[in-house]
Amino acid sequence: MEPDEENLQKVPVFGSWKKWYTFLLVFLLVQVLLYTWLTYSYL
Amino acid sequence: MNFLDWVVLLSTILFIVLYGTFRTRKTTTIEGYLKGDNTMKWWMIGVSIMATQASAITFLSTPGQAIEDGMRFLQFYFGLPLAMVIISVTMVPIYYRLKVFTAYEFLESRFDLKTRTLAAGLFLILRGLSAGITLFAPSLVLSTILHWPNYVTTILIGTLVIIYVTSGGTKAVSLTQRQQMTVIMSGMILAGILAYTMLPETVSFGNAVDIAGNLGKLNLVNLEFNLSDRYNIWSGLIAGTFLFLSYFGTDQSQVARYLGGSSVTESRLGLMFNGLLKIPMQFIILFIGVMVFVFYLFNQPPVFHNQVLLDRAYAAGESRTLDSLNGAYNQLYNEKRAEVDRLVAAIQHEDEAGIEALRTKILGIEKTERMLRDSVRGTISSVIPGAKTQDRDYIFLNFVLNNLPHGIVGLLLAVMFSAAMASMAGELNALASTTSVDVYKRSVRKEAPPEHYLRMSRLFTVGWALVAMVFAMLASFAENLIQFVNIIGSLFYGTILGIFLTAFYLKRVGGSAVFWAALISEGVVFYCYSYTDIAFLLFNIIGCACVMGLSLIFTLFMPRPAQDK
Repeated sequence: MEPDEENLQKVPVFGSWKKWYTFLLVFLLVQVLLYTWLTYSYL
Repeated sequence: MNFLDWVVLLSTILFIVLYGTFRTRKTTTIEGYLKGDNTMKWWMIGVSIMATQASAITFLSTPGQAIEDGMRFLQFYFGLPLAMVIISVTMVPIYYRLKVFTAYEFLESRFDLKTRTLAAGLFLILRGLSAGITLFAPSLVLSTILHWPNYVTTILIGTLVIIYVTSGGTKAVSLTQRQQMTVIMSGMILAGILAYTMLPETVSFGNAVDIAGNLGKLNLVNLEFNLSDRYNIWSGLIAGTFLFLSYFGTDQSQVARYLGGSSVTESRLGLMFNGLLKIPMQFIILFIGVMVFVFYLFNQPPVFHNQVLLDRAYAAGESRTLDSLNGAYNQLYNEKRAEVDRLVAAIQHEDEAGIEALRTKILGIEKTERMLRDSVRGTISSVIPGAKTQDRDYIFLNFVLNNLPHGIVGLLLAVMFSAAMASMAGELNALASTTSVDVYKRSVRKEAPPEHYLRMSRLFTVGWALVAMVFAMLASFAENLIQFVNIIGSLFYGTILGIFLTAFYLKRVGGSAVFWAALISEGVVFYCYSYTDIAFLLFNIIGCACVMGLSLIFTLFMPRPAQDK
């Protein structure tokens, strides 16, 4: 899994792909927790 | 529908078709037709990816899924962001570096021609079937509303898509998908808001959510591990990742979307866009279904939502039985309505004991309602043999046609058609590309001027549209469409993904080993489908694991040729 060298400096918003991937996965985790809380508040 | 609805519907569809055809009329090269002009920005790629995946089935069938089964279908998409990351890291750079037109071209450079042809062939079967289902849903809608035969509406919609896709190829697909997604999201959100505004004034949004939650519709996450349960967090996160890895990483209808980007960065950002927005978008669509469920607690729903089929059953002489069932259903509804009003009061007064008692009572009434509806379905199928009596896919449509203001009805029908056209366009373009590049140019006619391949690609687009139309007209479908289309996917995607993952990560495996492993694995998946009750999402893992495992074993007997390494 090689870094995209030529694009590292041009990655918008976060500046690197690793940060983008981390953000996406954290967003997924937050959603899963939110939906789990919503489900279990009615069980 | 009235005149205003028709004006809204026809002007939306015609605008999209004419816009797509006009803007891309100068597509004169095979590269332009199959890959676009590589200028697409990340947000266009993201929109295009979402529009290709979300067909009319999503908008027809998903709200109905929520109304009858709750929101647990959302878990199906939990693996999607994981797949976006893996594809961005692994597959996007490889496809760009090799400058491929199709995902399967890569397989020949890694393995051999027969493996490339096998993977392309599996894709063509899978996507060809899916294109037929994609067309079937809106054709059925239109034929239901207009009382026209299904084949007329199928030909009408198929022809509209052929016009702009054969004109402009990939670029026409992407351009029109922008308009289509705008129509789709605004229409759906409007429907959800209207469903809420039509509730009694005493019922607040919070009350509506509480009602839905207490009646089991906010069942978003199931933490139990169960191999035969279709929707739980484990199947979503694990098996779903495999499904979406295969769909977005190896299915040409999606690969073509992000290979049209101007750089690796734009393609990756487009995938990130999809990863961020897909789950919230599905949540919104399912939640709209929940709002319609709550609406139907305060407004009596029909006993059977496919009005055309019900009318046919009445005409066939079953009026006495159906009237009796209808009468019983009305009575039950009145009973339920009284309990629902008490539930609202209990919620507003935070009376936990009252809420629990009323919840049990209402769920009991709903169980009786389901039995009544089963009796109606049984009556219909006894007088109309072969009738599709599962009416889940008609619930949302019925709600729109019978309850929403004129103009909005036309807009929501435009949503269905936009979604169908967007998705079908992406599929046709991919089918034509794969047929042209992986089969025709590679194996049938290897040397010809570019204009010849452009002409053939256009012919293949029309050809596959005709195949989809025939399939849509002839096939009849059990169960509900959104599940059916995903079952079809899961039957093939595991094997295709296994071929690609073997290509990326098992360097000592050669073409012959993976080829035979793929054939046997596909047999294993079909066996599991036919003779076990394993949840269909798991077929993606089974197929993939079988291909990779068997490849490693077969490599002992069929080693990779030295010149390939």
